[in-house]
Amino acid sequence: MTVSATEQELTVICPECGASVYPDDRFCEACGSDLPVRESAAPDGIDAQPAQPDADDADGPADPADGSAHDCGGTFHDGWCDTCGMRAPDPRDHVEVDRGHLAGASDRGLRHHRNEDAMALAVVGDLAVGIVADGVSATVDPQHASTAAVTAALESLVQAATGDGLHEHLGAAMVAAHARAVAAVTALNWTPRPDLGAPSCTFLAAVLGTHGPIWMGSLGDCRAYWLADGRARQLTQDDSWAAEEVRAGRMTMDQADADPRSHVITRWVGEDGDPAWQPDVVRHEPDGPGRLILCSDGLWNHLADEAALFALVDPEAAPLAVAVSLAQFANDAGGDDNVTVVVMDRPPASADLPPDPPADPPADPPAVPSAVTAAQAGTTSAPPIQEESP
Amino acid sequence: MSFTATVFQNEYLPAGSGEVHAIVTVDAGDAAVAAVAPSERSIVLIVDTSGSMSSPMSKIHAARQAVAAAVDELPDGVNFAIVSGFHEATLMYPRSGRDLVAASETTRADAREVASNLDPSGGTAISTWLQLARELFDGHAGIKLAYLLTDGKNESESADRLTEELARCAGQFQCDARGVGDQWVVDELRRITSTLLGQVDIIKEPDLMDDDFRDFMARALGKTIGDVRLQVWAPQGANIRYVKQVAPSIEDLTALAEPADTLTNTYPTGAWAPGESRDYHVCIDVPPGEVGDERLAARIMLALDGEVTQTSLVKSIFTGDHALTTRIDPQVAHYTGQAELATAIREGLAARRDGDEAEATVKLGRAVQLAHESGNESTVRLLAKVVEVEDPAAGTVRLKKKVETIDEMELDTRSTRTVRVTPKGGA
Repeated sequence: MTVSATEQELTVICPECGASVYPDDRFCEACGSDLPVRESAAPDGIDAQPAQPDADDADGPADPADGSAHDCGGTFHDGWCDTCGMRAPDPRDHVEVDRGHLAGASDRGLRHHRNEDAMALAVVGDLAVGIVADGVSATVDPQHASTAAVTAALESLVQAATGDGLHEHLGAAMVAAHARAVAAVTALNWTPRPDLGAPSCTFLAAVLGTHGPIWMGSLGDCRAYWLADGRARQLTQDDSWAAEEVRAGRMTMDQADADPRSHVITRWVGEDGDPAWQPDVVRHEPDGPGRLILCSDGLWNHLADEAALFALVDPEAAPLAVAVSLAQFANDAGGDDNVTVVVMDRPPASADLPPDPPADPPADPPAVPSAVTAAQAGTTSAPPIQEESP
Repeated sequence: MSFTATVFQNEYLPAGSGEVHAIVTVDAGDAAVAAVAPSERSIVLIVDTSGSMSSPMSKIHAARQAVAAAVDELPDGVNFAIVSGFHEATLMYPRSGRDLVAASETTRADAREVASNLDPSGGTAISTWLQLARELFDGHAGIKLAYLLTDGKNESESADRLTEELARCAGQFQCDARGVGDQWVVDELRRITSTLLGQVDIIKEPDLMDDDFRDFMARALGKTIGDVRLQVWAPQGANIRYVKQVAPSIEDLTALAEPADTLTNTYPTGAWAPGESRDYHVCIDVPPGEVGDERLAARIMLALDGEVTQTSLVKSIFTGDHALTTRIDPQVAHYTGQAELATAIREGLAARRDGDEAEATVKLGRAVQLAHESGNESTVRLLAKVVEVEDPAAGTVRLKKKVETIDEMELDTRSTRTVRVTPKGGA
């Protein structure tokens, strides 16, 4: 099933009790809490958040599949078939979002029961914002964590991208967006379980314009690659056990990869994370057009190296086609994990555009709202991010 | 009503498997419950008056006192009767008719006098006692509880007669059973209480009878919700392997199932008091799934006096992630251990009776180990009367040369009592 952002029913969640409320509600119907008034600076549509609760909870909201027929002859009720018990299909199992030069695809994969990855995209003037988060398996409802993280970070980055002096401040904006993501995940309403940790996810955000540097913020093991000039380069570092061993010089990558702990993530976004953790902020200044690809480990686990990625991408294909084909590649390779791919194209710089942002930024460009979609990933190993400067 | 049900399980299964385990904790909560009218309560006291109750005479003396004390606890308006049981059953009180009588100043005084006249003679045919109780309860609504005291085995009738009468009594009333001394048969009384949703226990000395009767009355009068049932829905193609109460004691409810519809069974749990909490272990075999499948394994519903008030979900999620599928839920692990403990005790005692010392040592050693590691201290103490414990953690024991029969029976009777999961450390 494919759901584009515009088709999604976007809902706001009460930060106190987690109940669904309408975007313009001033207080929560469920618990009576005052709801935060959203800054008028937020462009239309950005304050929308995806619904957090899913059909797992017996007293949760009605499942969209309710009343529809299942192949076995039964009928879906509360998200489950009333005859054979199978779960109703989940719209987040496969999600595609197309914004032209910005697009994304997220898929459950073949071996997980749920998509715990999430992505969020927005076009703000000549800037494109892309965010990917991978819910950490072995935590409670990690799909809620990844969704909350990308939603909060998107709102934060869109506000930053709408402001003045943009390019100078985007590094700080990455830190701020991460902080908002942490706050949103920490505020989730969840029921502790002895065998699972607090809802957690990884975090990767990028802002790319038609000119100027590309900024990224990363915590965990999602990756950003820059494809240009006949090759692909990884711009971020993993916050993983393997990557840290290699960085510390204790092991070669081959040795580290062979260790069962290799994919264990060393930093994440969640209530039980270290409050001192900051995202790696990466600034990349390309000297020409190219293609930025953000992905969860569901893709890069199947890539031998950067060259393998470059070889998979058709330079003539549109971003959505690239994202979909890379997700399909991961499934063809075994589909062991949820996979999410966001593709952000930088068009050739127009000759009359200055290489640097104008000293006097134009009036706030109209923001194009964008899509927030999510799906989760099973096992996650998320590593720390690395900084990269060109 | 504030009944709640909480499910504990590891819902992740490897592809190709389908065995789903869940522990369901049911809490009655402390919400104010509508007071039960006295006429909505009925209590029948059944006292063994077979000839053996006079040897020693202290048994029948204690029974007379205990019945009188229990009668004193009856609030005005509660329906009651006293049954004298031997190779047949006699309605001792009320003195005439064949129905319960409402407690009052007058009827309590009369009943006390009747109690003082309980005289032992004859044999033991427990089915006749239960039949009379069933007839007395018939026509009364609400909370119906019986208390049955005996000192001997059911020797004046065939086992089949008791089985047949139990089937007729099931669902009509609940019954606790007590054996006094060491001449009764634990399994016989356990069959009665398992079918009639009661507790079985031993009264080691006649002078403890008085307190036990009073305790029964306090528990009986504390019940405020007469009919609580678990309804278990399982998907087409699934099999409900068992439904057991596992705390405060192990009671297998599987055989008590009544179909509610083609996919749902109903299991009686009897009457509850406010604040009561019990745990249930549900095991369902669902059709084996493929990786990525997610199937509802069961809906657990609580029905209070016929009305479903709470639904909890048991799930099965099929994944290739070994880190998820190999995890065992701590609650499931704990109660699996408590069930093994009860089985080890019974098998160990049986082996000991059969003279198989090697087997008895292995089983009772395992029981000591399980009781020790789960913090079931009262069972550890009972085991220590039957075996010399050398190393409780390793389960190293030696059989005692001389064991009192009554200690062995006490261990057997209480082998199904469980403890709840002990929180380990702080988190």
